[in-house]
Amino acid sequence: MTYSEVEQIAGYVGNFKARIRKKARYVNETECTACRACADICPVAVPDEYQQGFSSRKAIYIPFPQAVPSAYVLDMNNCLGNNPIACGKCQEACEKKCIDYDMKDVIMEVDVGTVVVATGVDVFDPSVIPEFGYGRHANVITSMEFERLICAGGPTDGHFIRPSDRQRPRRIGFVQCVGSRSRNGGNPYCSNICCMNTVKDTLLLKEHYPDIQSSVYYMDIRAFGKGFEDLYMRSKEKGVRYIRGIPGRIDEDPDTKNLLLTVENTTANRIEKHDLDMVVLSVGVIPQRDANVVQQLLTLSKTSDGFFMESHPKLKPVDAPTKGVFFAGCAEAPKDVKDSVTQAGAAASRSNILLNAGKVKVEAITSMINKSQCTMCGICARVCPYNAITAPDKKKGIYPVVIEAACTGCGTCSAECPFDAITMRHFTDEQIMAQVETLLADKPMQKILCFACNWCSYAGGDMAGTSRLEYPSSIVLVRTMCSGRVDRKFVLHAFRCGAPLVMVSGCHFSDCHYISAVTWTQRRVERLWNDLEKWGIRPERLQLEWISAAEGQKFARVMRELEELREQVTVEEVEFTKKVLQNKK
Amino acid sequence: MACVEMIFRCLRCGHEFEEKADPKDFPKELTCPKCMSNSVRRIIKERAEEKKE
Repeated sequence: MTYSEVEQIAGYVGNFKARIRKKARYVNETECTACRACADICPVAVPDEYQQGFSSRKAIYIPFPQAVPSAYVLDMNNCLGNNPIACGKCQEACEKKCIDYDMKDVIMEVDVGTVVVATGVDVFDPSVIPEFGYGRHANVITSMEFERLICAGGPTDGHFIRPSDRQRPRRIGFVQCVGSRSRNGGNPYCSNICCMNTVKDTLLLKEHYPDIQSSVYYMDIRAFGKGFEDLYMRSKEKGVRYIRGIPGRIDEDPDTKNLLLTVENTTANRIEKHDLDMVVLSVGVIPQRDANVVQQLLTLSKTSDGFFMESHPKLKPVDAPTKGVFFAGCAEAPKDVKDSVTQAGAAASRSNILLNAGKVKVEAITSMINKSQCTMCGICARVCPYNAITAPDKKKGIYPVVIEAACTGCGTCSAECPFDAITMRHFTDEQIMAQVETLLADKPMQKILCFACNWCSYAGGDMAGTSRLEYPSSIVLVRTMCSGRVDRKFVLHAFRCGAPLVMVSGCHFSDCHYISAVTWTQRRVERLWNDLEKWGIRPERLQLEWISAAEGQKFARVMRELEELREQVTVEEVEFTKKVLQNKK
Repeated sequence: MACVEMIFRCLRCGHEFEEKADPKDFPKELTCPKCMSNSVRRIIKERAEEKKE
């Protein structure tokens, strides 16, 4: 379904309902033969987005040569024929009578079992880096614009020219990592595709125009794919110069429009100035600018760089944390065509496994609502990161319902329920309280009770152990699936049992395996700090830490720090705490 | 909403620090710049001033 937009997705794995807006293209796509008669007669010319603005298109056009279906679409924002009809020439020229100015958007509802997110990426805008002069210097272009200029189907029919004088440039510079691997006017991550794209471009130039001298300004060339190193070597052998150093500035000669590039050649350890006819900025990729819309539609989470977060980087690299949702391509991280195709194949396979089975195995660890205690306050539905609990309706007497197929067992609902009306299977209140009591039954003053989430902090402790890092033996761990499960009453119970120090530990915010459950942990601990202070108990005795599975060293360091804090807690303080908390909830 | 100056106190080393942040971003992952602990508590300005006195 092309030229359409998903407006809403409701439901859960196996039972998604998608509302799709099929936009009016004002041309009957089944009848249109793409004869071009309409475009030939159209009097309106606007910059062609596909050709990066180097040529124009008509108001009725085919977005790009390989578009599917191969049918024209009318750009109503630029068409003269709309309201009131002032032109209408295309309609007259169309023999098949395909053009309908009154066509309307169609809203469709589709039932789907799984969803694949393949929303791609946008490219970095280099005009925010003023020293490169993009937008000010006519002959500074981006790698995307270069692609159009060198393409046989491009605005110049593949005749490579520079924009200022339409002459063939003789000296071209390629600047790498524009908007990538930079904390100053760019993004900190590597965009993955730019190095090899430039190597490919230099070879293309050498093949078509052997007399053009190409120089590549880089900090590293990352050629780690199959055959990529070979390609890089071939480019060097063909005479392409690779200069290690990112230019500090690019100046333009106002008369000739030639460019003077200043760079620190870090191999030769000197500042160099290079005269060039044209500079190509190898721009990085950024997450889709409207990725938030998709994120909200499917309750997805994003990593700190803005790309969608997978369920597990090694074991479930294609799955989203929301069940039945999969990723393909750059929506998840920057990747080249080969990797995108591989991931798309995997996403299709993962989808098919679910669809062919016709059934979904639900998690054993899910929540269960006890109607006898539920007051229909709706907090559970509000805090669930997966929208797996339906909102109650007090007036109609409708209780919240847990959709087990969507519940992943983080336990946030159970921890946040003020009426203890939610039971987490396999991680019940009774089970966790019993663990706390057992661990603190003997010499509690010598222990630090740590609630650790299954995926990160507990695994971080494992990492510390397998790395043979030393940390105090006073640490005792209670594992929960997520730090979101740590109910305030577990913490208070630990203090009541004589714990001098309690720690709640979970994943880093950007790594939370339950989308946003960790944010509820932080809120809960902040509330506890306030309450402890109000009751005359030092809030310092409740510690909070975000430790990932790879941070064994951090785990050991934190535990050593906690041991120092534990030693400062007195017996009198613990006895006072026990007394104060006797009747507190 | 614009960023506002906020005061935070580390519950591990006791370090107090100010940071500009957008209230809409909270809760967010906080780290003490001195000891790198995540036990960082947001305190209201008045309270911080009282403590300084």
